[in-house]
Amino acid sequence: MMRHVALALTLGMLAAIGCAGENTLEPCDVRRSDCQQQVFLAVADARGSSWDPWFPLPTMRVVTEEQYCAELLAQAPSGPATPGGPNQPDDLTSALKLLHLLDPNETREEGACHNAVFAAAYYVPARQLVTVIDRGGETDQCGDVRTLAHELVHAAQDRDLHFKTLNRGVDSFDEQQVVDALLEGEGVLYETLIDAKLREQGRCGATPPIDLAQVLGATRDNVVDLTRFPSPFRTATALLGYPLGARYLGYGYEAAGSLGVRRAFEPRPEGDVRLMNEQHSEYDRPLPAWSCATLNAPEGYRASVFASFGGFVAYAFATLVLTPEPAAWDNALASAGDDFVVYSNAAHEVLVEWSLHFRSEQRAEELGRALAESPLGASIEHSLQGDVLQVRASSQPHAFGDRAWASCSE
Amino acid sequence: MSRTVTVLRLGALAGWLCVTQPVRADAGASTEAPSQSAPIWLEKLQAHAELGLSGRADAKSRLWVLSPLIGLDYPFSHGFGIGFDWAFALAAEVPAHQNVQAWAAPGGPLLKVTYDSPDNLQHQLKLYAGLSVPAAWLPRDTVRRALARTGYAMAAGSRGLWNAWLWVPEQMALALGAAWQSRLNEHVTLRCDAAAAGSVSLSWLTSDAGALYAQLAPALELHAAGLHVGLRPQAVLVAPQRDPLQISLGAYLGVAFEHWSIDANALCNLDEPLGWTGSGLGVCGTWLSAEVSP
Repeated sequence: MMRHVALALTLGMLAAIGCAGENTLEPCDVRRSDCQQQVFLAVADARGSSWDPWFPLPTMRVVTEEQYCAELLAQAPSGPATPGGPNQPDDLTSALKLLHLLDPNETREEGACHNAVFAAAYYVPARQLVTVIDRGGETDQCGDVRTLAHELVHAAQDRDLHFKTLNRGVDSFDEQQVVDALLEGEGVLYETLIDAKLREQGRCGATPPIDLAQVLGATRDNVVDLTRFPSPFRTATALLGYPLGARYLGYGYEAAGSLGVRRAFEPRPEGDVRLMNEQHSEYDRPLPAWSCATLNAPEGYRASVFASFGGFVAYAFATLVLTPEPAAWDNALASAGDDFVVYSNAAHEVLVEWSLHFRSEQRAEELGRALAESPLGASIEHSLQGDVLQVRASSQPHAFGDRAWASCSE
Repeated sequence: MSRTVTVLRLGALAGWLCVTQPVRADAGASTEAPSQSAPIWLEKLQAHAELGLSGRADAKSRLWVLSPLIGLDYPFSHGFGIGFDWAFALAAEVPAHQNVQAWAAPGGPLLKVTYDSPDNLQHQLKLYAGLSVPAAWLPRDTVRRALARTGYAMAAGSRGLWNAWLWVPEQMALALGAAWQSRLNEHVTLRCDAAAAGSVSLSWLTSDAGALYAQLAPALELHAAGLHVGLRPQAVLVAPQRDPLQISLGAYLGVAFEHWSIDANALCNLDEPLGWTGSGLGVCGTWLSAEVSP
């Protein structure tokens, strides 16, 4: 009898299980090991995963902006060294300067350190290293925790999804922008949720929290007005992915929490225009394949760069000639692919040809007309073929001579 | 984010026990007259099993993780024997507005050599040395891969990281363990379980490193009228974690029958990362486990 009572008690215990836990992150000094651990656990909690003993917390360090800039400079691409002179810019940089997508007067140092102006921290997968950039001044522990949370989301992504796997099959700049936007977007999404929780609990002063609705409503205006910067290519490719990726994943989070976020990674959106568009439906329609005939390289030149840049860069270009800014955004939303080719010769002189395909002839005409009317029209030639706008520029006057435009078709 | 964590470890499945029990009854009789119906080797088998159920929920979805564990030990000569422990994990994520995402996979089975001290009513010592077979591989696709990691991690975390190497994905481990018990009198038994292990990663994809583990759990157990209750503090050290020590406190209530026993347990992780203090994840659990022996 006693044994049966015990067995009943045993089963009763099983039925009465239920424990509730509450992750209690507080603003803290992110340079301290215990603070880093707390933020890591808050990230695990927000991402719906459990802490596991098999993944050590990434190594962390703090550097000054100058140190970060020096590291970026050491990694920056450069062209061949000129005897007795500084390195020349690489062909891509030269071509982007010809199209004013990069500031023509930008030095190599300024280009390399562009990210240092914006970045608060970064994660290096190969070394599993989180670096926080110390800009001096007053310490904002709430802001620092948010920044660290963002980078630890990347560490968790690397653990769960592995960056090598995510990048498999990525063979264009456009596709890379999508992957980067998803990675950064997840960082923004969860840092926002963690920050909102801190503020709701009154641990970060009276500043109202940024909630999920704001993430979902985010546009490029939330972080950047590209027209303020002289190198819109860098600004667009470095920053647009944050709010747009967060918004894209935010819809997944709304539907199914962290599972919805992970599902939004697969299948990957085709092209970054998909991330730029808020309604999606119009841009989910498949487009007919298009192509422009491959031209031979001009005499004395060889093709050195092939790229497909995607909507973010189309938008960056449109901001140069279309005003006000929403007109540039609307124009870029109609982007449907592009081919970018750079030719260079032995003297490192560069020619660039760029074909921009749009979803409508109207958008191609609009951009072509604006280009012709802008000051850039003097140095950038263009040609319109239906819904394809071709532009080209050269570092040498009359370098194109009577070179024909490529023939494009769908 | 609010979260509920529940852990159940159901012991050996009732049906399995019912099937096994008659064999055990025969084994009891065989000490005087060997049974014709059951082979001797079967009569010496010792089996144990658990079935864990962990859950967590937030406003958007609920996650369930089943974590069964089975084990067999076969003593063959002078107290030496062989055996294995094999853990499994099954996870299902149930969102409010999308389809369920499910995944199931084995952990790495630990193949072991065991030693039991000669029968002694007062003191007993069991030792083992084992090597895990790397059978726990994570899926390649991003959705199931993350769910699998969480499934393995929750299975180990809900047990206070005890024997965490049984659930470690894409690694193999070498483990050494000992279990000692001393019956002080008719009503009081002292127990102490300890183990150490080292694991290495075999995956080119996972960025995990290997780990070193050390674990210790003393227990004080009281007996009366066929029942036993016990208190079991537990400490697990995992290196090279930033916060390497996980402390938890378990309690159990059990009942023993002639050939099998069943225990109900409750455990709470106490300190970070899984415990209730600081920014820990607040993981607690209760479970039922069962053991069948000749």
